[in-house]
Parts: sequence; structure tokens; C-alpha cells
Amino acid sequence: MRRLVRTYGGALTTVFVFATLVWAIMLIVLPQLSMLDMALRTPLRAKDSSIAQTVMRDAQTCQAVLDTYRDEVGAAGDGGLAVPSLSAPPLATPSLPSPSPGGSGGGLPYIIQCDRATTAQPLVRDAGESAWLNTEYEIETLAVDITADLGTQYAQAQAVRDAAAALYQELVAAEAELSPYGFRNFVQIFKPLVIPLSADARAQEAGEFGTWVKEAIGLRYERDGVVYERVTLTTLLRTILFAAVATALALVACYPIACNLALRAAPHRAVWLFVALLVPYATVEIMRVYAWVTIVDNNGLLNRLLDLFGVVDIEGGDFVAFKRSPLTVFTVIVYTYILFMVFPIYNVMSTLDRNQIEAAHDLGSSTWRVHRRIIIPHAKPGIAVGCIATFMLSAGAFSVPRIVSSGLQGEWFSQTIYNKFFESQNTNLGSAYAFAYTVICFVIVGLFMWVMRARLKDFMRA
Amino acid sequence: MSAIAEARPAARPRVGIRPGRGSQLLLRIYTAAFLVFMFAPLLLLVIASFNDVSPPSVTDWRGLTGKWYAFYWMDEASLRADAVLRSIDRGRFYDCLGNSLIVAACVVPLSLLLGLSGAILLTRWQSRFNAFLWWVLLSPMLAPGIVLGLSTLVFWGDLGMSAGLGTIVLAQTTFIAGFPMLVIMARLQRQPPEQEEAALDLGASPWLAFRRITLPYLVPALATAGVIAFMSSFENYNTTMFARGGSCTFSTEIGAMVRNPNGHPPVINAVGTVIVVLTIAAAIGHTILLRREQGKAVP
Repeated sequence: MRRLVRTYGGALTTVFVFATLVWAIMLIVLPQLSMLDMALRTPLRAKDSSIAQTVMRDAQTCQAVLDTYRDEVGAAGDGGLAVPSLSAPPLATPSLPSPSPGGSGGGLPYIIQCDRATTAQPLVRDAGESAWLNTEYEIETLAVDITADLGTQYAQAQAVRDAAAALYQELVAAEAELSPYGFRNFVQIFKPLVIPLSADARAQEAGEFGTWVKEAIGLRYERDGVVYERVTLTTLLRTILFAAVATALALVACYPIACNLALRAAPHRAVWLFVALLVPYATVEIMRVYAWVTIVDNNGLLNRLLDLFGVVDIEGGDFVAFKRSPLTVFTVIVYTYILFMVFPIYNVMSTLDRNQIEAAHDLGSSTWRVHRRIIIPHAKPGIAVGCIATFMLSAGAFSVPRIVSSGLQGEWFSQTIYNKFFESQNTNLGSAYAFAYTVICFVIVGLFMWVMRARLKDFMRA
Repeated sequence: MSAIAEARPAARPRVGIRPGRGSQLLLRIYTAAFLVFMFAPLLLLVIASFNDVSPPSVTDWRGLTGKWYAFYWMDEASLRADAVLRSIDRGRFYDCLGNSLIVAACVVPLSLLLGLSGAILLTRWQSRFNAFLWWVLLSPMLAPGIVLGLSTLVFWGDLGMSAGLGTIVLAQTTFIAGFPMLVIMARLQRQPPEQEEAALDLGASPWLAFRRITLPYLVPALATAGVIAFMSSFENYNTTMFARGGSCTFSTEIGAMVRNPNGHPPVINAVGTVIVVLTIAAAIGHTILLRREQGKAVP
């Protein structure tokens, strides 16, 4: 630190340290911590107090609707209807004209909030458990009888509302005492969901390889004739597997290109090859992804070609739905991120002293041996960086599944996170998924770096 | 990752692997096939932009047209007259494009400052926190982009900042600042420390030494880093989608247009073609400049 101050002076050093600290703390560490905080909290709406509150609000809305209804009918008042007062016993007049044909007894239409206003309310529990508001907290079982007349319903709603309000206050106080943290959201990743399948569909899927794999590793199982699948976990594992395969594929595909560019091609040709690779690399990402939409569309190039050869019949409504296939997403991801493998390898490889290769050849080494003993060991940092970049970009890909498949289904885990966060508005669960995903990716990258003996400083060279 | 910065085709004598005839041919064929794979989708994108049919297609040729380009400057009346074009919100597209430029105008200087600071601390400050700082500062570049958008949204939302251009800038800066840092570090490490020391010994104030010695030395790295930061910010989709709130940028708007359930209009292909042409021009320009520089260095 003293050397820093001597070289750059107090003011500049302060600026540098301050800027770095702001970056590290305000932009990196604290946001991650606040996301972790969010991930560890139980979603508000899953809490028992929130269920009690919902019952209270339903009862309240029920009363409000009843009020409105009474005012309307009262205003229209053609003499047949008396305005029920709360203090007086409810007037049950069977001869009351029924204004709504769908209405039940008492001449009232169906009011959903009145139907829902009951203390016998299911609580949010983990799979396999069930609990009810009235039995769990031993309060009176109250409900609004929707076949009763207006006054009775109003009074019943009031009773439900009072009971729920009291319980709500009590539960909020109790929950404030408890720790708000838990791993509930993380456990949700493993949650199995019922897959509704017709017998035909099930017979068809049973023969598929994917189904067999899922059953073999416990992602899918059948119990009492119902098929369950751990959908979230399946997506997560598939994403990571596909990202790893994409990385391996990119490495195999790009190594010869990088070699050609760095060591083999004649200088004037290498320059043009370099420019040719730079263009797709530097083109705006979304355009590279978009370029594939025309190809994989239901009416796109691939289907047109298949149509030409008579494999499918587009006019007849028969086409291959490439857009819905995870394999299409995989292909486009490989296309979009493959060049992130070429350049790091090339950068490191081009620093190799070519005399070494010459010497090896002169001493009688085969081409394969030269690669194995000289070029690959030298290019290893570049290979490591290329693999990490490609893997992280593929695993975190969001634009590709979203653009190519138009969000028809969640093939990629990033889409699952997006849907949890923005479609079902469950920020706690979304944060938990995102955090778990980051940790998993970091562990994989860390293990890979350990195996390759790569260091972070290699990023600077590649 | 600072590929563009460091990648430069080197002029060198013809010494390389001594391959057999057959393998040389094989490698050439493979390279050609690879380039076809990389360029075919882009070429189709360009061709479809001149086809008079919406949604864009290369198989269903309905005649040459320039109207998907003219869309961007044609007057309101002719815009309304076209069945496809009138349903597209041109004003919104320009707003989003403007937003992208605003965001980039904030992200580039911010990430240059943060990157420069990080690079100087990491190269010139020897302490036991160095390795830890490395990990912290590089972690956003290794994290999935969506997570950065999410965490920015959550944290700054707690602090009372609503999602919008502000959160986009912060989320993007988090990881984009890493690129300048790597580029600047690579150059800083090659700077002989004697330069600064000599200036200081001769009585220059640290500020003067920094301004007259270090900064000029870093200018090429800063320029490259600025270009990389601008491009990363402009093309970013993943992080932006999560941090954007109700606002839009160029990339998110293109994404929204593509996802239009009634079919995406070929005006996107027109923009794409312009981008591809610009990229080709820039890549060639970059290479020519580099060669001229190398020509000077090695007479």
C-alpha cells in the first residue's frame, strides 16, 4: 500500500481504492448477499399468517359485495325486499324474486369470496403433508353458507372475519419471534410434480430413451398409477449436461481451427481467416441467434427442405417442430458461443516458439506426438479459459432459448429462473434457484480449474 | 476473454508444423466447412432482408424489395399504407435504440474507471488479499449473466431504486468492468516500473507522473477496452432482461419483436444486415490498422 501511495500519490490511490471497493462491495458482494437473504426467506404468501390474512380479506370482500348488492336491490326496491339490518334477525323471505338465474338460495348470485371465506383453509406445506388453518390452530370451524340469505351470510362473514383477524394478529406476532430463514426454497428444486398423461402418451413415452434415463436416476417415477417427475431438477441437470457437451464439442471443433490460424496457415491466409472468424464473433449476439429463427421455424428452411424431399407436408399441417426441441436450443447455443473457444486458444498458441515444433519434427516426432507433447501443454491455459467461457455462456444462456423457442417451454434453467421471478412473481423461489445455480456453476468451474491446474491469472493471457 | 484485444494476426516467416499433403488438404476443407457453418445463418439473414415477404423467408421468394430498410426513414403516410409495417412501433424502436446508447455511454466510462482501479490495485499492490480480490473481481465474469441482473434488481430494489435504465447500467457494469481490467492489466504488467520511478526521482509529482507517463502508456489498452465495453453493453441481452423493469434496450426490443406471436417482421433482418456489414467493415479496418502498425514496427 505504501508503494502505491508513493507511486500514485494520496489522492489517486484513494480514488483507485474507493472505486475498487465500490465495485467489489456495492456491485458484487452485497447484491449476492441480498439475493441469498431473499432466497432463504419463506415466500410471504406461503406463511400461515398470510393464509389467515387471505381468509380475513375474503370475508371482508364478501361483506362488501353483499353490501353493494343490498344497496342495488334496495335502491331498485319494489317493495318486495326489505333492507336487512344487522341488528335485526335476518329476514328470510322465500318469495323473494330471484334476480339472477344462476343465483342460489336467498336470491343471491354466487359470490366467490363468500365461498372461500372459511377457516377450514389448507395451509402451504411440503409435499406429502397437509394441514388446515382451523385444526392446526384449534379455532372454530366457521364458513359462510352461500345458500343462506343475505343477512345470514353477512353475519357469518363477520364471524369468519373476526376469527381470522384475531388469528392473523397472533400468527404475525408468533412468526416475528421465529427466525425468518430456512432452506425451504432450495428444497423446492427437488420437488416432484404430477405429470398428467393419457395411457397412450404414457405407453409412447415409456419406450423413449430420455424417459429411461430419468427413471434410472430417480428423476421420474410412478406411484399408484400416477407419473411424477422432478421437473425443476430435470431442467437443471439437462442444462448443465448440455452446456458441458456443448463445451466439449466446441473444443473438438475449434482446436484445429485455432491450430490452423496460429501455426499452419500462410501469413496472408491467416489474416483473412482471422477476419472471417472475427465477424461472426463480434456481430451482436441477438442477431446471431435471430439468424437461426428463419432456419428452424415451422415454415423455415429446414422444414421446407424436408418438404421438398417429401419427408413432411407443411401445407397438410405436418412439420417437425424444431422450435420445441431442446436439441435445437443446444445447436444454436453451440453456434452462438463456439468462437469464445477459438480466440483464447489462438492467443496462447500463437505465443509458442515454432522452433520447438521444428526441432521435434527434425528429431522424428510424429504430428500427433508434437501436438500431445508440445502444442497442447503450451496452449493449456488458453484451452482452460476457452472451456470456462464457453461453459458459463452456454449454461447461462437465456437469449437462445427465449428467442429460438419463443418461450414455449422451459428447456433451459435460466428460463425457469426467469419464469419464477417474473411470471409467477415468486422472488424468493427465483432467488433461491438463481443462487443455487451460481453455486453449482462455480463448483464445476472450480473443479475444472483444479483439474487443469489453471489459475485466474490465465484469463489475462487468453 | 479479452480476445479481441490480444488477438492479432502476426506477420511471420513461413515456419510451422510440417504437415503431410493429405492432412493439409483435410485441414483446409475442415476450415472451409467451419466457416460455412459460421456464415450460412448470417447470409440467410441478409438474403431474407431483401425478400418481399413477412415473416422473412429464403425459400418463398416474392421479389426483391428495399422496403424493410426504407421502414426506418419512410414518412408516416407510406408507413400506414403498408399492411405489415403499420403494425410495428417505429418510435418505440428508436427510443430503445437511444436507451442502449445512453446505457453504453454510462457503462463505458464507469467500467473503464473500475477496471483501471482494479488493474492497478491487482498489479501494484502486493498483499495477501490479492488472491481474494482477484476472485471477487473476476467472479461476475464467471457467473451466469442472468444472476447478475437478478441480484442487482434485488439489492438496489431494497435500497429504493426501481428497475429501469439505472439498474441496467449497474448490472452491466458489474461484469463489463472485468474486460477493461484484464486488458489494462496485461499492458500494465509489461510497463517497466523504472519509467514511473525515474519521473518521480526527477521531481515529478505522482499525479504528473501518472498523467504524463502511465496514462499515455495505457492509451491503446484503454481504447481497446472502451470498444469491448461498448460492444458488450450494446449487445447484452441476458443481464439486461432481468434488470430492465419496464424499460427497453436495442437487444430486448429486437427480442420482443422476434417473439411477436403474429410473426416477426423482416425489418429485423434489415437491422441485422446493417450490423453484419458494419462488423465486417470494422473487422477489416481493425486488421488493416494492425498490419500497418506492425509494418512500421518491423521494417
